[in-house]
Amino acid sequence: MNPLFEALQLARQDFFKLRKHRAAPAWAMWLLTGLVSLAWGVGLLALIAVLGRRWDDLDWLLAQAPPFFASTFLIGAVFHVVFTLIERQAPQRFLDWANGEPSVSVSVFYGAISMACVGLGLGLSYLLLGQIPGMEKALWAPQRSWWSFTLLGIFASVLWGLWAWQQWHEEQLRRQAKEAELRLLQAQIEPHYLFNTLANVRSLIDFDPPAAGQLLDAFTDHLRVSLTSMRAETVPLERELELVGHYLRLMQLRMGERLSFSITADPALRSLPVPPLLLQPLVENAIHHGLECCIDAGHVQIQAERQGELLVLSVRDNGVGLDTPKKRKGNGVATQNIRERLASRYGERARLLLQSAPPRGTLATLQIPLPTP
Amino acid sequence: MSLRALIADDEPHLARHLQALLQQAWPELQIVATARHGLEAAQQIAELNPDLAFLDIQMPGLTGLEVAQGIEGPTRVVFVTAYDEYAVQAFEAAALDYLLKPLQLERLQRCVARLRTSLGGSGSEADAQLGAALQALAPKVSHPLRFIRASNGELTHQIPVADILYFHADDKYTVVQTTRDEHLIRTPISELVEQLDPESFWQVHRSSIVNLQHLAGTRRDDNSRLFVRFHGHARELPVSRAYVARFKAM
Repeated sequence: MNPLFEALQLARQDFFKLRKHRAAPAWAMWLLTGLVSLAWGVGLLALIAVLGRRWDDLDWLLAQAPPFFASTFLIGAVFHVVFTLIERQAPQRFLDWANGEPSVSVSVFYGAISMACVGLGLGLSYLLLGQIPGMEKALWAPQRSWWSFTLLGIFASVLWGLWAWQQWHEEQLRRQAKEAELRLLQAQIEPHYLFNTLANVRSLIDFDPPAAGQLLDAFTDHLRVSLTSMRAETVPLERELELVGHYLRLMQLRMGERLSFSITADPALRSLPVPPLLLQPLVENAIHHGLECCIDAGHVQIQAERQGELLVLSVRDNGVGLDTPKKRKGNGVATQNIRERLASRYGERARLLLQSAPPRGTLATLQIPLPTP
Repeated sequence: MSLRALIADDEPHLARHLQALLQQAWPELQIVATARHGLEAAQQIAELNPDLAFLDIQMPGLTGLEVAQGIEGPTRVVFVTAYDEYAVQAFEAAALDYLLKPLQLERLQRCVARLRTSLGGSGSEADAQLGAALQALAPKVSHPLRFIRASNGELTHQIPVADILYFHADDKYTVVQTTRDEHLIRTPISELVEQLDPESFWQVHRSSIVNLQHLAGTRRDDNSRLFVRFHGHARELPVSRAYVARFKAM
């Protein structure tokens, strides 16, 4: 019972969306299609019984049910095959369009496909069922209801379009609110960082006033960019790199020769819009890993490159790596936060990977789809 | 006799700043070492036995709190922190000396004045304060372990915690000493503390947890360091200064 239920739960996720990868096994998807078809069958049969004033005629209902349900299951199967084929064969960009804002063209697409599927299903059921002996006794024959099905199909697509549009807008609002909240969390200044930086400035004022000035400048730059970024939906990649650059420069002034870093980015990518403050928490983690337990010099390497349709941002450190037990608690919060932000904005198309980077250290990789031109 | 102190901070500018301010506020205090991380601090404290140790809390290697848990000699601890909400609450509650970063000369002077008067005393009050603060910061255990699982080659042993005399950190492993055998596990002391019933298992040192049920008593050596002894077992374990007060109350 439980594995079955779990598989169905998985299948239910985004069942009505187009996805290249599904968590649920294929049989669960088929089972769910069967259940949905059954629900449609029951609903339509009830509707026809009510409209035909035959709802109290049990014999009629029993006679109608087998061919009727057989047809709905066939239509369901056609839907399943057609949409699975679209999912598999169509380019991701097309699926994004179909899953995106339910504009008139998207509604027309779904309406047309749905009607084609219903038509194909009905044709199939006529071919198959029409020849089964005994079926001729049934009052309901597919070809008689052709027009009512077409009308119902148009009616359903319009309803679906309106409903989907409403849903889509609500989801956008929810997503924006959530995104703003997560961004705010990531922009929070860690008190340790703040007070230790101030302590360094305070100390350098006495010993090395020019260095105190440099540190204060880096701190100001970092604060300014992070505050502006916090309010933006997207920022140019350049800005994001600038932000972590200021942060690393500051940490280097604090830590001395213990920290070195490099930032390399393809100049063509610098103006690409990216969600703000995704890189900063990864760099903070790298600093903590790199300098937390390792007493010797730490190095942080940041890279931005294009790989096919993806923008790939990577942060590599030469610290303790992922296998050692973590001393600092709450490390997972930042990465969880990033994953949620990516999922709400890009769905499955963006990823955050954390892996060990031999000979030692951690490699964090962000994969974000390039914006469609 | 001039007093000797150690400073431990992983950020060089901050260590230097503290040293400079101490020179101003307490000229006769001699800074004998500056440690760049927790392990170095623990090692230098054990070697040099300074009168005072100024320990930053967030350091690589060992945290300042862990360094304090391992002090066996008479060294008094002053914690230095940029921001540790819970630690500061615990220090306040235990009336323990601590400094906040960025350091301010006036506050340091007040701290120095207090240290000057209290360093003349026996030091047991300060140990008790440190013990109370560390106690308050100890993790709360909700579901204590009843068994420890240790593997030895192809065999695994299920050890009832009641049979365990003590846990002792030994390089990369933790030694689990029972009435009869010795086992090695990989769980560090800091994680075990979070899983053992605090009624019967006491941490007495950064590197050891003892089972009170098997305790035979204590012994004090010539340098007034305290050791715990166990029934039917020869090895004694040192008690760090912070935890000495707990045994006095027994």
